[in-house]
Amino acid sequence: MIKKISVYPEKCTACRLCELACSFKKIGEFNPVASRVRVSMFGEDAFYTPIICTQCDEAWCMKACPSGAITRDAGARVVKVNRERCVGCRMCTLACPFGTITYYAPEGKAIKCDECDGQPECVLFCPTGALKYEEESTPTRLKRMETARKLESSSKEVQP
Amino acid sequence: MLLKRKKRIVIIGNSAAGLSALEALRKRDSLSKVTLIDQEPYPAYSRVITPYFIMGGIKGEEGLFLRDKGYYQRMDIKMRFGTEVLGIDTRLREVLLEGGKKEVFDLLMIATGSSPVRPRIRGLKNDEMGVLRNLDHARQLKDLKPKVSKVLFLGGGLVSLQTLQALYQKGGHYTIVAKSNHLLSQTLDQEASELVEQHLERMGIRILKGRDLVQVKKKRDKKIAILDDGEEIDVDFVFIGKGVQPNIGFLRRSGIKLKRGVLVNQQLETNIEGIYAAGDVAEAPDFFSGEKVNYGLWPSAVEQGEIAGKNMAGLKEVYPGNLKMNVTRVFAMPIVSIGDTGSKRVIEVLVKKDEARKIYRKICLNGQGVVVGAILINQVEDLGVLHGLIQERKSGEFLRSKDLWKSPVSYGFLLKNILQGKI
Repeated sequence: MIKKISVYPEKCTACRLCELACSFKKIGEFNPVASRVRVSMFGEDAFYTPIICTQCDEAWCMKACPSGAITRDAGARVVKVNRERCVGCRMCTLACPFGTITYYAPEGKAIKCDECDGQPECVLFCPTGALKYEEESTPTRLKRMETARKLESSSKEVQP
Repeated sequence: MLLKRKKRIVIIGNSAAGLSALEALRKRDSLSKVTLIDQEPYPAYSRVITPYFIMGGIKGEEGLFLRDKGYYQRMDIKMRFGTEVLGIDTRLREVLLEGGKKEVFDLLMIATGSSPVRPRIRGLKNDEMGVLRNLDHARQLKDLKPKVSKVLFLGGGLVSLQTLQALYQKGGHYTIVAKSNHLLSQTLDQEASELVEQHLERMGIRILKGRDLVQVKKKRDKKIAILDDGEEIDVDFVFIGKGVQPNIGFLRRSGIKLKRGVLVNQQLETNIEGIYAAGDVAEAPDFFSGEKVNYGLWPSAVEQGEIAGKNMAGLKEVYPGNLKMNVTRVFAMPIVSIGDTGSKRVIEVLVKKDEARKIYRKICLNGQGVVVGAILINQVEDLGVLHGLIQERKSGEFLRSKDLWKSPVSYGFLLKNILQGKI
């Protein structure tokens, strides 16, 4: 089975080590703005969660890219940004409903998670297990499908 | 349709819509004989990023090409590039090509794009008007860039503004002449436009609104642009950004229903069975009203092409509808406009303005409280999440409750509300 990054929001304490680990790995600086993973924090509800690219099958960022900079290699799961080709037009950031591909102003390019080619740094530094790099077991999959169902039904509540 | 022989499929247009149709088709159908025709002789390239090419932000023309060298061979198609299509015989199901040649088809995809509108202006011949639509135009503008420092841009839309930035050099004189009373009138509201206009003026760009160019006079080697109020402006070059028109001339007597463009239904099929159209040439149902519209956007062309391609492969995919979505920057100022931001459908707006930081954010709701549009200036990080809300026709009630404007609307915020049962 193929491994992927899983998120367990209930375990996140908003320590934001993942953001620091990611940015340090990618640009050699502790700068959350350059991080490919972002922690959403809502103190009054005690709701915290890392938000990270799920490498969707229907990669909308990839389809929307007008410069051919976003690709998925044949047989691969991870979607990558080619920095040479990216012109920083932000079309991908408009296409992604999760906000997990972002525009990094200092470079004028789009950035997104590439799962560190199989060794995700954020997972390595997450002290609580809110981020895991794992094969998707049956229970996790069921839980995910349950969340997906909730999302699905919520989108049907309102009709045009 | 039950055929004993292989299906013959013709795609006219080797750009966003044509390519994505081809790929969606080939994923599901490797047997049919496919012919790809295009007027231009080049492999597929990106029209959207030509301004970056002129600016010098892309390493040569290679950076414009969208697919690798072996692509067309892998797709197993017959290529007819640099070939003009003269007409379509819908009864015999033939595409008529220049030189008396033809291609017979069972299924046809029309993705011929659009061409710049060239208004009549006294003293300015067609070939003296700068336009930006294809690679040849981009090459001309790139060559011209070091030679022109006094440029007049007719039209206040996205193409004018992008070309202005591509041609911009310090010390140059740039004037935008727009008929409407604010710039980017198709994309932004008055308030957002004002921020953009102030920003341009700080860069030394002169903006003349509610005006038109009526004549260009030549005096020896000097050119003078004359406006409708009589003002005369010294120019080296006139660029026309007055929009585009769908390339449908060759379809006039084909029996395919046309209005501004080729009319298609939710399957992207025309009135004639097995003939599809997508991209800039097509008028497809609007996301909100279902009326046939054409916004001429790259991502819409990709999406429409994909759905048409799937349907040509035998699926019954439905297009969710044309939704306006623009993201651009004007001298480093990011500008986003999504969906409906100004029609009667918009009943309520949630607005944030920060004069000092030049931030403007507007989220538009319809009568049922559903998010239908957004305009974002200078604080745009949540453009994708908002676009997602609009696409999913979500209620914007939860946006009202939270002190939304402290930070952008993150997906985490959505997730929290969904899990709490508030969305």
